[in-house]
Amino acid sequence: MAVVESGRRSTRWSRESLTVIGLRLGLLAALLIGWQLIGNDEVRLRMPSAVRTFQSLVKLTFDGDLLPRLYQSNVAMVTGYGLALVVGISSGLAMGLVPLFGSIARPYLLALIALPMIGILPLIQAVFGIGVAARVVVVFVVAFLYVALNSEVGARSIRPELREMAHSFGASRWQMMRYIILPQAFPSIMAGTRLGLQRAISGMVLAELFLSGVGIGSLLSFHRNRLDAGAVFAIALTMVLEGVILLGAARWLERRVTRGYVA
Amino acid sequence: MNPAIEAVSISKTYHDLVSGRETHALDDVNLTVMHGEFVCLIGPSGCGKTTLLKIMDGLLPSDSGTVRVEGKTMVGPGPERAMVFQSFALMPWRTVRDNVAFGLRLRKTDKSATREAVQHYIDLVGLRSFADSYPDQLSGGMQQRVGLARALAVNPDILLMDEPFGSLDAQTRNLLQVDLERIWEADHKTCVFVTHAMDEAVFLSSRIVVMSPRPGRIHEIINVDLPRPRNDQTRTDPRFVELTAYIWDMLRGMIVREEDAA
Amino acid sequence: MNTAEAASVEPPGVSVALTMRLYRGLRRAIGTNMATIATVIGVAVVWEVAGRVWNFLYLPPLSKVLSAMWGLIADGTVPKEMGASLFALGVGMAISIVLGLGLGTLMGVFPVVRKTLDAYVDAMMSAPTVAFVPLFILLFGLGYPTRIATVVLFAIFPLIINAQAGARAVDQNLTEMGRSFGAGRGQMLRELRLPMAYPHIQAGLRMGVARGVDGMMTGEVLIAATGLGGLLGRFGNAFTMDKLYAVILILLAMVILAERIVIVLGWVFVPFGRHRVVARPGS
Repeated sequence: MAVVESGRRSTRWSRESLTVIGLRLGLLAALLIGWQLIGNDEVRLRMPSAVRTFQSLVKLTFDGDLLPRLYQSNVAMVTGYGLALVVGISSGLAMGLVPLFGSIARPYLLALIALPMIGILPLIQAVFGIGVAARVVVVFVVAFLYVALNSEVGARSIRPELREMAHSFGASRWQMMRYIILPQAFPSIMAGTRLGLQRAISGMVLAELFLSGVGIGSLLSFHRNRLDAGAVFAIALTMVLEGVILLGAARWLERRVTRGYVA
Repeated sequence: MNPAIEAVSISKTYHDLVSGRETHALDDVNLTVMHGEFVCLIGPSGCGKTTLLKIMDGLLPSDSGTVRVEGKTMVGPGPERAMVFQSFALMPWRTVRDNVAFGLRLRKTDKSATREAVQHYIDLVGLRSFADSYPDQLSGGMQQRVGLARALAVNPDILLMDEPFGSLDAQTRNLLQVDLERIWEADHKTCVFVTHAMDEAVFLSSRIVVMSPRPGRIHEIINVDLPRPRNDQTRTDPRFVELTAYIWDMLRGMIVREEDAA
Repeated sequence: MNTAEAASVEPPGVSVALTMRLYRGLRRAIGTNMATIATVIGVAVVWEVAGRVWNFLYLPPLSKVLSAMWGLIADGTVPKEMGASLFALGVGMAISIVLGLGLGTLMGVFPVVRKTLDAYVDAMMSAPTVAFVPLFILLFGLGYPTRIATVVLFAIFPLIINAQAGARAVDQNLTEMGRSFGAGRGQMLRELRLPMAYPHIQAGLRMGVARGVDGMMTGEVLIAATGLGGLLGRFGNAFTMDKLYAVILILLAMVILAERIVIVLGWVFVPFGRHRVVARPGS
């Protein structure tokens, strides 16, 4: 890229990004309008219009149980995700640093990744029931795999000559970990946490849909049984938007934090 | 007798959209190449030699001026010209045979004629035992032979070559120069050859066009009076050394002048 | 390669020569997949031993699972449900591939389209879109429309993203060469752009079908009582663990098989030299 008189460049930049933002908002507006037109507000069971959905959302938030239930479900998710991070990063690093362990464990993990999330839900329900514990387990299992495998890749991408160098300077185990291993594994670990978060969120939503019991899932099946499409759509949108926002934040964070690292 | 290919008053300027800077790649360049000539374009970086070659092949439009083949104005590529590329530009998913056949395949030449021609040119460039190999199994020199065979296979009147040996090591380059000379001797095809290397230009050409940069112009045209056919002995001929030194002097002057001005 | 052998051996009949070819092929296939086969055998052994020794209600030994699987296949439960599931999967995948590759290509070719849709497609790709399935159930009922819609919901986004990357994967040197030799637009597409896009298309197909199977199962489990997913839910509720694991194994096999099939289908884009197209890690 050519180096340029700065004034001209920033005008060019913002003109282009303004157009893009304009296009995207325009698309969003078109979608909302189209949705409103398709929607049928007479029959509760038909596709709800945008307005009806929004009304349901407001009602659920202020009169209904939406927020407390959302909180409940998210607590379960955060617990499961946190566990997945702790166990996943440590076992992933172990797999990468201890080749024998890695070559034994890796095929199992890869095989589990091939299995769709839904495959293990009935199993977890059978063992853990339909309460909070089951949700935590679901989130843990689906997130753990990605965190562990990405951490392993990170551990394996460590340049051996740097390890040798630190060893020759007499670095202790802890110093080796802190100065050599973790910094080099860091970008992959961050990627793993982001992917793990994506899986955790999907896992939570899936658990909510399948395990009704408590939390948002039970709210959803309640309104489903009442055939209130507007409420169901509103709840679904809430979960999706929560996912989009959290993942957007995670991606931003990952970019900021791994700036300057060679991936 | 019409010239094989002419560049008439060709000018081209590049505009950098971000910085607003303009680069005068070519400024009113005129070049006439007669049938059977081997012409080299040589000059320091930025003199426009590759730009001129691509304009002659019809890959780039000129801002002004025209390209004429056999007296007729040409816009865009045509079957009478074929190019050999510096990056080889081979399709990695095709065998040597299929790569050489590419131009013929595009022209929907019938299968048996294609097969014959392809075999002939593969043999000509010395790749018979690699006909069914893939490019990633070949060395750089061999890959460029494929590029050459591909260009020859469509039987062009004019062969355009864009620093074809530029990314090869010195030994492979010497071998390929001798091979190209041998192939050229067979039918004296009209060639326009772009290069950085003075010895390569002197070895191969009947005429050398030295270009100067910024703006790109023709600086001097040199007739190479060395006897043909040329071979390794030619490189030690005193006239060869003299010509090479002469061109280097000219080029060095241009480069030094650039650096002083900068 | 093996031409030397042909000279010395006299094949007494077509069938023997064919058997020899198959045998050699099989040996080669086993050789390259040694590690995977070893792992599978390892898992099988551990599962069997652990199941017997531990006697945990929730982990029956592999042999019981396999016999349950055989039972389900033999009495027709699995074939019947699988047929319905595969139908939903097939239709859903067909829609996803056509729409996904189409939209992705448009995005790759037209920057305006790309810049507008980019953010939304990326968001949908990683968002928990499974949340919409209950809505589908309410609106479309418990039958095929919902199941197909779920497959499309899951499968379409990787296809869009990869098709877009494929459309943009252009090697300038090669396209310039193509123009120099006078390639027309159709020829540029077939000879150059499709092979260049192929690794991306293949990655998209694989990811798309894996997600498609996921969508198929998820839809069915949430609808309950239909297809393989329905079996999964039913066996879970009934605590018949051996049958549950059997269905899980079948599901795993389906995913692997579906990926292979879709890769073969993808060969239509590059009828030649497909093993030589520049390989790149899938997304």
